[in-house]
Order: sequence, then C-alpha cells, then structure tokens
Amino acid sequence: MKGAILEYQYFPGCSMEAIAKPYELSIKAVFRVLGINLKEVENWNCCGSTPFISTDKDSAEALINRNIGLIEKSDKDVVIACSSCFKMLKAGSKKVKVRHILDIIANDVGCDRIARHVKVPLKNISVAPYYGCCTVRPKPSFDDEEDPQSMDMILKVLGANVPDYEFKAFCCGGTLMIIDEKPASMLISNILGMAEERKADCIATPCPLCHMNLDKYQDAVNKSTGKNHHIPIFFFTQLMGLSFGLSPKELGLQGKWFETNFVSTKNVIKKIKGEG
Amino acid sequence: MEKTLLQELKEEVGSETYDKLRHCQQCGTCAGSCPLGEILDMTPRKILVLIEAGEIERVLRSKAIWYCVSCYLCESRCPRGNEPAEVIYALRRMAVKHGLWNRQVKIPAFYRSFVRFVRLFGRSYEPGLLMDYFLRTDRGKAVSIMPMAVKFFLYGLVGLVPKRVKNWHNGIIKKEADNK
Repeated sequence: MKGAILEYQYFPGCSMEAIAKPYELSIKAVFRVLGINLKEVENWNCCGSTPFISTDKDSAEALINRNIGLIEKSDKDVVIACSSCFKMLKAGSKKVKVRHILDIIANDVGCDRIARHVKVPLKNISVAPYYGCCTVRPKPSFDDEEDPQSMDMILKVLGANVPDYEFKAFCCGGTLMIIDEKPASMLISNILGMAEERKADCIATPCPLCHMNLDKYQDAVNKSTGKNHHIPIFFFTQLMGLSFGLSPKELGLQGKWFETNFVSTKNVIKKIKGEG
Repeated sequence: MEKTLLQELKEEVGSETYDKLRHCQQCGTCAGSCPLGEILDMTPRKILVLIEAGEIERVLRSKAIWYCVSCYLCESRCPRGNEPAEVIYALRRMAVKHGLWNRQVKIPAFYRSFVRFVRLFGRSYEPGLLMDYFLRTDRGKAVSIMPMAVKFFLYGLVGLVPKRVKNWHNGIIKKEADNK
C-alpha cells in the first residue's frame, strides 16, 4: 500500500546508547519522515558479540536466548542497525524475523517512497558506500555477500553520485583498532584510501563500529601508516535525513557543543546545500 | 575416558562442520581472502591442515586464532562450504578452557574486560571496559587515551553512568544457560 504506516520492533544494541547515539537520532528522525513506527524491545540485554562467543558458549547463547524471548512477545519484524547484534540475533527466532535496517529501507520502504521525501537531492556530492563485513556476511544475507547494492541504491535515489567501490564489504577490523593499532590501521587505511582514490567526498556506512574506526580513529590511522587521509564519514541515515531537509542537529551531526564527528562533515553539508 | 582435543572440537562445532573441515582440499582461497593472512602466524588454510595433521595444540597456542576479525570472507568463498571463522571461535574457547591461549596477545584480556561488565550490568559499559583492560595490560595507554576519552565525553558519545538492564544480575546468564 502506498503510504501505509509500517511498524517494527527496534533492537538498538549497546553502541546506540554510546558512540552511535548520533546514528540512533538519525534513524528515528528519518523513520518519522518515512512514516515508520518503531517500538524499542523492552529491557533488552547486550547481544554478547565476539567476546562472549570467543570465551563462553553457554553464556553467549543465554544472552541471545533472553533477547529472542523478549522479541517473540510481539509478532512484528525486528529492525537492527548494529552489525554485531544483527549477526548474533538474525537466525535466532522462527517466529519473528530479525532484519537489518538496510534491508527494511531498501526492500520494505523502497525507492519510490524514499524519493517522495527528497527535498535537497545530493547531486553535488559523491558518496562511497561502505557496508562493512557483517552487514552482508555470513549467510543468510539480504544482499550480495561481496558486492551488495542496497545502500548504493538508496544513495542513488537520494541523488548522490555513487562510484564503484571495491572495498565496500571489506572488514575494518572491528575492535582490533583499540587493541592493536598496526594491523587494524592497515585495514582501515585501505578502506579510506580506496574511497579517496574514487574521488568520493565522503563515506556512508550502516555500522556503528565501522563508523567509529573510520572517523574517530582516522587520525590514529594516519599516524600509524604515515598516510594523510582526510574524508568525512556519515551514517547513511544522516545522508537520507539531509536530503529530506532535516537539520544536522536532528540527525546527530551536531551535538550540544561540538560536531559529533572527529573529521568534520561541515564542508560536505555545505556542498549538499550548494553553498560550497 | 579422557576426551581428545579433536573430539572436543567436534562437539564444539558439530559433526557437520567438523566433517567438512576434515575434508578441506587446501585450495588456499581462504588464505588469499583473509585480510590479515599475510601477517599472521597461520592462515585459515594452515589452521585446518594443522588440525588434520594432529597438531591442534599448536593451533590453540597460536596468535592467529585471536587475530581473526570475523569478516567471513573465508566462509563466503570456500568451495566446500567450510566455516573457518566458526571453527576459530571454537578453538578460542578451547584455548581458554585449557589455559593454552597465547599470552603475548592482548585480545583475550580485552574480551575478559568486556564480559566482566556485561555480566555486571547486562549491557556494555565502555569506560569500565577500557579502564579495566588498559590497567591490566598497558598502564601507559590508560593514561595516553585520556584526551580521546575526554573528547568522547564532551562530544556526548559516552556516558559515565552505566546503562543497566532492569532486574539484572549475573545469575540471569547462568539461569538461562541452565534452562537450555
């Protein structure tokens, strides 16, 4: 149906309460415009992620089972934006479908509905679509495992130029940057470098951890590799919101005192508005 | 009768995955796909052949099993449908269980700090996790990350008050595990 209100359960995951707060702000703002209702799963717990499955399988399963029990209280599909939480929960329930936010927006909402809300086409900028690894792997996957298209498609509907980007589903190293900078910096530098090589103005990503590595650690990566990367990173929903005419503040790009990004997005936002 | 490490691995990953790994054809696709393959002491291919050759203890002591970033390219591309990433998770658990984990690698310590705070609050608590981890492994870094930590705080990206799950206690994890 054309403009029907869509409804989903929403599983945030721990990063949405901390480093990815801007992401959650932009998701809620964009979903409001699109007419999608989100109901947060009540009293959810940490998905356990890699640390639990690497050390204690029983506890890892217990954390997953508790969350599955909570989501099965409703029959609505669950939307998840954190790649790690998505990976841990996606095959957990036979009653309720656990789906990634890109899947929901690309396939349930669809191009036409998105296009209707675009007030400021992103035609002035070029955006490298960086999915990260666990968005599309392992199976089951809602998109191609190495050359996904869902975010490419969304960005194109918004009017942006989307270059070919071979590293779109490579790994940023996850938490490795916090623990061992040298190998992680190599991975992150490749991702940043390829986007710059393709003359992208910025990188869009759907993953909280990838965003942190690419933005918050861009300086540290430069120090470790001797390179000079300088490219701003957006959550893809922030770009959607900018094209819908929403303000940087509503989209979590501007915090109380400072921009929330370490590599400033101000120039790209100006370029989108045609001011620079 | 005492279980061998191989039997334990079979129980950990399940017989289907175990059989596939024992039939690895050593094509090297996983090794070529691994983002850190060039710099680690073992590629996924080598891990599988060492297990086949009866050298599982050497694998449990390796650095490689901890540096796997779980990107799943190996699983995606394996012509036999092998699951090196899942096998590596099982090997990590076994390394921890038998006290064989590589002491030069800091990743197990990081995981332990992460687990500690989730057991406590039901959710991740970054300030606690990072302080706990750095104080145990690299006190110098505990000080040198302060500027970045303050920046995160001023940008509104980390809260000092931990988020908690209502009615949570570590017993919940144990209770759920027992209820299986």
